[in-house]
Amino acid sequence: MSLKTSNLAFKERVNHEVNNEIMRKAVVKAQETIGANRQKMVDELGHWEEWRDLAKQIRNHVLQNLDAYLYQLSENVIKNGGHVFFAETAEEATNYIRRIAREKNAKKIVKSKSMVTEEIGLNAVLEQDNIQVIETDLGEYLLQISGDKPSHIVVPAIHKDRHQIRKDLHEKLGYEGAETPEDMTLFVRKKIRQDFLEADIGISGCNFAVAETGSVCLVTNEGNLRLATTLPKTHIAVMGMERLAPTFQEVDVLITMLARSAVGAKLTGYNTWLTGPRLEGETDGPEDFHLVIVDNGRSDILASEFKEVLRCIRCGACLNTCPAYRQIGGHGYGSIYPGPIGAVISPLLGGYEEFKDLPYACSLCTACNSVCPVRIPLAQLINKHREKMVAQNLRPPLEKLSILGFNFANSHPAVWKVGVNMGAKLMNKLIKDGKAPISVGALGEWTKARNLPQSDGESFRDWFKKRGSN
Amino acid sequence: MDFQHNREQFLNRLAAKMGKARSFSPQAMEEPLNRYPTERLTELSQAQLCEEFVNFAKVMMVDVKVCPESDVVSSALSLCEKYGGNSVILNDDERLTRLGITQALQEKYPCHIWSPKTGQQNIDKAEKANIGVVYAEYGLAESGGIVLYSQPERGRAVSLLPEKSIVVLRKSQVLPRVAQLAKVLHDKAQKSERMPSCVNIISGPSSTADIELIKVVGVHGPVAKIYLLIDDL
Ligand code: SF4
Repeated sequence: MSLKTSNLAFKERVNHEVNNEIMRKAVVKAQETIGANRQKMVDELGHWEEWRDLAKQIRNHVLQNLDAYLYQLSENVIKNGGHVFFAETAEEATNYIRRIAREKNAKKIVKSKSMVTEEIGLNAVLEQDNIQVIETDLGEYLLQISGDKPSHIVVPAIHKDRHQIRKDLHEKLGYEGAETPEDMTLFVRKKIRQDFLEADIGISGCNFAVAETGSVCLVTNEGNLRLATTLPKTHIAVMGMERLAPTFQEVDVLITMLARSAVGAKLTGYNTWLTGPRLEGETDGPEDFHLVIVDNGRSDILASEFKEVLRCIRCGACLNTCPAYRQIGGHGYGSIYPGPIGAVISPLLGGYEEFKDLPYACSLCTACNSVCPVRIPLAQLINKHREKMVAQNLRPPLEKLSILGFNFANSHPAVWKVGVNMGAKLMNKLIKDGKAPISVGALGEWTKARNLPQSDGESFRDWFKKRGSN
Repeated sequence: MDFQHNREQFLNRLAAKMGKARSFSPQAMEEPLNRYPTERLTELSQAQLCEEFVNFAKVMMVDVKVCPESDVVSSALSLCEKYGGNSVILNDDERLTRLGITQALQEKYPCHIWSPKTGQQNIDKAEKANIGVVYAEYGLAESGGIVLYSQPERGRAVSLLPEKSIVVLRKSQVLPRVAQLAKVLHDKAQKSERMPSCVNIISGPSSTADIELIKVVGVHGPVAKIYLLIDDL
């Protein structure tokens, strides 16, 4: 897989997703459950806004000194007996990892969930060499067996319910057990155990690398990362080049914000801090450790007016609060990075041609801004994309037409007045059961995904005027 | 292309994109905007910290047994009994030997002691063991987690592969939160000491919520986590 997860046009994807009742129910439940847990943890921690300020300060400091920190990190990894590879492109990164796999004569690789390896399309490259690559995070595993794509950056299989999962397990792996999460999880546990023991290489992402010590910090709830970095002889960690912290002390702040924002936990179940390969005399842990540092467009982002997005710690809180994500789910975005963070970084990493619709899959309600633990002004950055696309003449055609119309009406008060009065009266006649019978452009897309309130035939201006005279 | 060349090219390009001259050492961190991470929970006494630790560990589905040092051996034996006895694996940790836990378990159960001398056999035994017993460096009050360092005599797999994991630790070793552990490691780094190859912070048993967000315990790691907490306050 790579950044792009669908070849369908945006409109087709959205049409498909808004009719996916299972996905929509699951996403609503996830937003509500995780949102409530997150709020509990935010309240429990106290001084949340100040913690956000601190997390932002740390991430900004790292970005301002990124070249120096990457240098320091690489020196320390090497000092500890590891290897470092700097990859400017996705291709350089995958070629390097493929070379290691060939050198090790690898037949089986166990992977722990990692967005950056999805982004660079690593699995497909390794599979060309007939290497079996096994995703070991339960959600990713379930997607892998059914050839599906992640729809959330923290809970990748959120769009599937137990019936679909039972069906996949039965069809692909002959599962005959009950349709309970417990039984299905136990089945997968037994299935993957042997793979961990047999794998030649473990591949992980990197939540945060520590420049001072040359360590990588990884978080999981399942323990699959521990297995993937304890049993195979080789460990390859792949990191987006901005995922750095100066020392473990800053990692404390970042993992606190990550766990509380992502799943509403005080800390993720397993925090594993790895420094180099195993030491002399140690029996487990990798004999060989490689850190692959990936640019893949990030330095361009750093040089642009979008650089604040590189503070992101991939907690997914912005997805869990976004009304657009709630309606169209992750697959609607057609990128492995969905939701508000996806609407900002997908066009940056994959270009406007591929992802020009994503900044428009946003109502600019700014809910994402208010939850982001590192204070990324997501809504403003999404708007900046729109401005840039306008400047480059890259807007979707309907958007152009409606903006032209809006600009004309806005600069002609008489037209505006007639328009809104007529509009209010017309809507009163037309809206039936929350739906408009005409389905035009943005209005059509909007009403497909939600119900409209019944208008009382009065424009807002008229209502306000009357209210003012009361 | 060799590593040096590749790195220099990458970082020079990066610095140019950042619009600055290439630098090799970062600027000092500005004064942190606040000190909540390092000060949080430090107003609590050690006894209160331990109370927090135990309470939250229980929320995280950890079975906690507190006992005085004089009862630690009998407690270890009764916990092993409760969790099905059978085969046990222990780290070759002098702290477990000093307490008498290693010897007592060896007498009662088929035991393997993790050792650099037994190589791959360590992993085979850990894979088949019902219970793994380790001694933790620290407990963390905020998250109810424990901290393990790897060493030749202390395998990563002992707390990972067996179905049940017993962790022995002392009340006096309970820290407020990760910040204090981070400080210990930072101080080590400042003295140019090598980090342990693996530091694990473990809060509760292995779990997942990937199917309909329903929490299921034991997807890959241990199904049960048990703390044997020595009251040495
Ligand atoms: S943008 Fe902010 S809220 Fe969204 S994933 Fe990144 S850190 Fe989390």
